[in-house]
Amino acid sequence: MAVAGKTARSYPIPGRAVVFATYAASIVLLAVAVLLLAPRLSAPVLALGLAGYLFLVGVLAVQLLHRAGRRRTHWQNVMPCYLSVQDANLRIVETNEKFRRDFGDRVGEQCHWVYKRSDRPCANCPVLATFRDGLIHTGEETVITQDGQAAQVVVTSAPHYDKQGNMVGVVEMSTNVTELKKLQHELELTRVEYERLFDLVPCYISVQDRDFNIVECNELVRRDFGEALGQRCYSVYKRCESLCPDCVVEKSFQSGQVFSSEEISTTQDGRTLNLITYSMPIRDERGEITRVMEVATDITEVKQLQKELTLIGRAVAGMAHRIKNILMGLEGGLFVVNTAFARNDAAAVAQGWEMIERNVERVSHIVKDLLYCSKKREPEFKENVAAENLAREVGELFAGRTAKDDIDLQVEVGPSRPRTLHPDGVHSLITNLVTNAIDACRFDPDESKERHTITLRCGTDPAGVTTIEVADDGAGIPEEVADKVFQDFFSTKGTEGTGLGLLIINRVVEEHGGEITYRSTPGRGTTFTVTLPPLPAPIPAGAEDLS
Amino acid sequence: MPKKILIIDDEQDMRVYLGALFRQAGYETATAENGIEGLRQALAFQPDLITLDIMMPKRSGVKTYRELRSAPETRGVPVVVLTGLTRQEDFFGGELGDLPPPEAVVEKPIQREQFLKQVGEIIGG
Repeated sequence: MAVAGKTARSYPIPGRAVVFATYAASIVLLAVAVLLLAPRLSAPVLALGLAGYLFLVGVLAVQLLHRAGRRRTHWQNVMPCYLSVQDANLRIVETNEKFRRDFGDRVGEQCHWVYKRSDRPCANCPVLATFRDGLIHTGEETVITQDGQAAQVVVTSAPHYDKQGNMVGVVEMSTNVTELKKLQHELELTRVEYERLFDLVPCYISVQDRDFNIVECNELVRRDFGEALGQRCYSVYKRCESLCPDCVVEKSFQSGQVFSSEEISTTQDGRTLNLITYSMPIRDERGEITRVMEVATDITEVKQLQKELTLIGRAVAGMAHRIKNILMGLEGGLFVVNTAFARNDAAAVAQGWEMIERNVERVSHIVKDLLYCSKKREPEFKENVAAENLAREVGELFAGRTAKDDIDLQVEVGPSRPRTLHPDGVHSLITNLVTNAIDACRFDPDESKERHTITLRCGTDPAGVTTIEVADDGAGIPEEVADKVFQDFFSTKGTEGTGLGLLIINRVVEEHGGEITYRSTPGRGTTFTVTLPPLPAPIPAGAEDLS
Repeated sequence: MPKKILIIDDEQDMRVYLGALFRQAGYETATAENGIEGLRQALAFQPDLITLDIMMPKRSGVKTYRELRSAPETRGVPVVVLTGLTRQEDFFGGELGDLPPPEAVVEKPIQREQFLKQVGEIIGG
């Protein structure tokens, strides 16, 4: 219980222990004095003295025992925090058990030395502040325990008054929040990480409330759809005034399950996106669904690839068909020639030979189209080419053939407006459109139509947009295939075409950054419309870049 | 009396080839370039066998086949169907209904010897 003056800086002052030691010492001295004086004193005086002495000893014992008990169970020692009382010089006057455990018995030392091994008071010391104004103050500090461990504490200082109402000290209570601080730090790191992920993930993520307002969204949504917060999701993603039919977000709100769907959206700069959308319910602490998170992945490229693959598949099937016919033509020609030789029939030889020639030409057409489709090379754009002239050329090319099939080919072409385009490509495009139209007419099962009409229109508006339209009144595209855009349905036989028609049309349209649409009524006919936007003049090879 | 074969096909090459092939084998031949012509010829030429291409413009091969099998004059004439399609479901697209099936369905390109043998067996009886 002796005051431990461990360093030169501690100032020994009489602590409680010293007082008791003096008390005990004086009792012993008294006992000795009484014993020495006993023979000189009368019995009653001695008895009184002894009684008094025993009383004092008893009091001492009780005090000691009480103090010992108090030490163990006093609320100060049960508190899981550091408690200390400092005087106006910041010297520690009293401490609790936990304090003693972690900092040692440091009564008499200044608190900033004990807590921080610093010989100066801490900046913003709450204890000093309380001494100044008598109010409770709080602060956060980092302290060092006696075994060198750093701990983060939240400090509260309160004034301690004596019975007369004078402030005689300040009680300092420090709660160890090291664990808490660590968790707080980790939480902050996690939060930052989550925010980063939220914005880095290459999906559109938004969170909607029950009114379908967007309450949170990530960077991608902001980039492609603008400032979406606070707006209805259907207005942001679909430019709609009302909820989409089969809304997956609504379904998630209602049933609490995850839903997915394919959707089409328009970005703020006008691009069309194909998306796969997932909706996930978010529950609050009571388990109620207050929000739904919507995650959408861009599958536009995949869709385009899908479309191209489908076209290629149909083209390959159609080509196989045509090649079989060509083979028959070649074999037939060979047979006729050989048997004609055997008979010395010159006319038959000529006929057979012509069959061979014609079919070899058909093979070369197929090969040319195949090469067009398979080669990845830059199309040769030329400036000052009029699409109208190309349309006229194709019209003349097919005039004879259509007449033979009881088809009227009408060519309606606007004034020539030269522009930049890929001449071979556009020529091919128009040719294939007309070919498909001819097939639609030839294979029209409606026998009541004695003749058919195909109209080829071509014109360029002042803005430089070229529109090419081919309309027929043939078979039309049946309902079942109308959804699968560009199925090469009616060209499976098409002796006119090479089977790659729609594929080529698609390629050329894409090269020019254009669009193709069609309208069809089964039994009444089909109209294909191609629009090609104006294009900048091509940079000639070897020219200086003057920009 | 040589047997008569009517060739109904919209492709000129096929008409020339099959015509030459059958004539070489000793048959008498006539040709038609579409279904309507084909029916007319079937009545006029009275063939012992008809070869019919399935995919034809104007009147489809299937429709022509239906009419050949419905008309009493042509009902009994054996028909060999020629097709460039390979998938089973494309033969007639399941539209046969209660009509009797063709005596043979031959895929293009034809194997000459086998084809003639087949035709010979069908027409022979």
